[in-house]
Amino acid sequence: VSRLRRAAALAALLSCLAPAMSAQTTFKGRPLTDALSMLRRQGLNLIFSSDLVRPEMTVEVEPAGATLQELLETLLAPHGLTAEIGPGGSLLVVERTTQPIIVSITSPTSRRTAIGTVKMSATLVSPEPVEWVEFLVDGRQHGLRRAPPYEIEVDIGTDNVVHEFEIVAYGRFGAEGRASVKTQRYVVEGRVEVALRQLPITVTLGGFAVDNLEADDFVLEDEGRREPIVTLAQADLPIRAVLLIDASESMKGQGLRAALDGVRAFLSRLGPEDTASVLLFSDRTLAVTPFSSDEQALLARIEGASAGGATALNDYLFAALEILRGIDGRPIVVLLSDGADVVSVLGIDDVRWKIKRSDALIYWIRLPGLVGLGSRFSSSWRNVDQNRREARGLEAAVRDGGGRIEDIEGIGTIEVAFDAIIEELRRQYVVGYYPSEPRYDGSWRKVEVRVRRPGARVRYRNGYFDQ
Amino acid sequence: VQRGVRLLVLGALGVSLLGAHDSSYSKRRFVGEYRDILRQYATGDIDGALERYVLLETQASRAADDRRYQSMQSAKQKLHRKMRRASVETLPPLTQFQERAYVAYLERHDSRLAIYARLLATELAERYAVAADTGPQRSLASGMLASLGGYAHDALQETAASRLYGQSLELDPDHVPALLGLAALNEKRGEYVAVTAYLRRLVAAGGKGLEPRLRLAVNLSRVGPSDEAKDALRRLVAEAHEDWIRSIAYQELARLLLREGSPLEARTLLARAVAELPCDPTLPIQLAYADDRAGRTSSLDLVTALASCPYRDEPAPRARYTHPPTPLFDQLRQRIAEAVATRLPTLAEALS
Repeated sequence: VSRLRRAAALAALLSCLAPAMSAQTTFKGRPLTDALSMLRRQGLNLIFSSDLVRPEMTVEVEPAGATLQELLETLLAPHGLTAEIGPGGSLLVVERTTQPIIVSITSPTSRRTAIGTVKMSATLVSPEPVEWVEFLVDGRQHGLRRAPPYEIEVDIGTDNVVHEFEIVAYGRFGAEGRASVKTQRYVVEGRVEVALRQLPITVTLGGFAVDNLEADDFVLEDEGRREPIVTLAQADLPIRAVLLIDASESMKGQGLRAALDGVRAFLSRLGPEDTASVLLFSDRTLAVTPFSSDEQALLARIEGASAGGATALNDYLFAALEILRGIDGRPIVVLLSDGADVVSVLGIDDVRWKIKRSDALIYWIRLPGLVGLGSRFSSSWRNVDQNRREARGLEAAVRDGGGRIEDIEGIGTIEVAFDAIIEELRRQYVVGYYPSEPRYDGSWRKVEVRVRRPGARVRYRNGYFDQ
Repeated sequence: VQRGVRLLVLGALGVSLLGAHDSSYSKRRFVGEYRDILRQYATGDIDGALERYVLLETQASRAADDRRYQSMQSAKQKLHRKMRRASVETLPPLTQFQERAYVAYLERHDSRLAIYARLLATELAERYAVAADTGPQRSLASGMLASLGGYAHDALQETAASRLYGQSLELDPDHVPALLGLAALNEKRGEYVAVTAYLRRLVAAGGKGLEPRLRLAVNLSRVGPSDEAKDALRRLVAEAHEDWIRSIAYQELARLLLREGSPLEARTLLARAVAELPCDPTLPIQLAYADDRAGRTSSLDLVTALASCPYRDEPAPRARYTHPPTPLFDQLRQRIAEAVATRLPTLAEALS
């Protein structure tokens, strides 16, 4: 700290003085004592001894600094000398001790995850002019900057791994400084060595997404205890979406065509780091694709599919969640269905069990159908009352998990609904925090989030199993 | 009263079928052509006659005005009455002809004409049931009513299906397809205790194949202690050669084991099921669930498992279970066709 204060005082002192040397004067090759004496004559209270500034020392570099500080440094630094504030506001020429450049990385920060395009930036405090700043990720150089601002953007890929970001600054006269941060893996499951919990949060005001919120805008409570938010990102975690399309008999013809248009719209708005899998189902698998970001490849695999059969909604919703298990990024299920399960072997309670243990958000585009909550519908596997309970259970599961039900009037608005969902995902926040009293006992922990914006609505998963 | 209501519905449907008018479709021409078609049918050329009939009905429904079309239908029913007066044995062929027409309209997605044909067939079958005196007549009438009940059941006309199954059982209390159909309907209503008692009697009476045993086992698992259900399901797993029955037996047995808190046993069972029935879509999903409940990471790549079999345009086992017992109804309809074939000469004679 004292060094920083001294440097600041020196800069202030020198900045008060008029430029000491005329542009016409040539110093290179002349004795150093001559150059310093000239500065003295021009009013600079410069004190130096003949032990340090010896007669044989010559000016090695023609001084070209815009400020007196730079000019003085140019004269002294090649000889291992520098100037410090002395008694009575004088400047003492002293032997230079090797002092590092102080590098403070402002982005990324440790404890945050880093995937895709990441901004690297730093502020520097340097005892001498900075020659260049080098940006490295995991030991590989990704860029150089010779002047402020010292920042670059770097694409580090989608691997969910720990990255080391290092920024190294080099001074004109040999000073160096470096700093590094290690970012964290995105933790998909509750089981973590570092116990970081990440929670997707959607914030809306009057039905529109609220952007540019800061960590301080959120209030998060885990089991009633307020927790500080250590990471905050808006939409920079890649999306991993399973598009789960009910292609049962009722979707034959126009219905399926409209559904595929919706899928197409969703895929076209995925970012380069996002991936999706498409699963068309009825009581059987009609088409399924692996995860890919290649829109055309995904569409090619589903476009020949035709609708037919009864609906096994619970079974395939479970399958979608299972497919997303352990995957890095932001797991999402977009379900298009009227919600009428006819033949599943799994009940909605089985699916809710899974939903509670999954990090996936479920967006349900609910088609109007014969099977609203108030209608009478039965099959050999469930009677009317059981089906009503199933439908209510699915609604609750989607909402408890922080997802959303988008009720649409008909197949004509399927595409719009898909569009609205991808737009929402693009503007969703992910906050990270460390539960201060983790128990790791498998118990359910309730989470509450508020945002300091009057009238804003917040949607998030309302808890998790502490495992 | 019911018959009166149905006649009114028939009349109303007839009226509602009409579109553009064409004066060339006179009642006389229509009935003449229908009579000619029945003659062709009576010679045994069922498919040819049916094709002509569907064409005639479709054109007439589009061409005649309301009043004239209604009068055509009345004339058709009048012809049926004449046939019945000549011989009651003309009713089974006429019933079956309308039933076949019903199926043909369904295939053409003409639901209005399909409903009309089914109602007409029901009317004819009920008349035969009223007139049936002998054992074979009663058995045939019972079969025809059960068959029509099966079609109504398939079309989700559950009230009609229930009534037809009931009428069938009045004539033949042990009619297996009607019994199973009625059980399936009661199952949809959640009356599991009644269904179980019913199926238990049916199975005890003589086995009647594996499907009744499967339905009994499924319903046993819903109503009481699971030991009997588990035993029944285990026997089905071992004995069933039909994939869909074996698949459901595996699924329901695994479900019971999971319910009892034995996920490891369930997953072992399901792993065996997946190996035996690799193209069944439900089994790998249920196995993944059992793995999850057992606290294990699934050994399956679910995407690969779901995509591994070529698409088949047939219902999954659990969807098949929701329909009336298809093979039994197929066999029943085959028996009815044989009985009707012996009555075609009677129809030919009446038409002459």
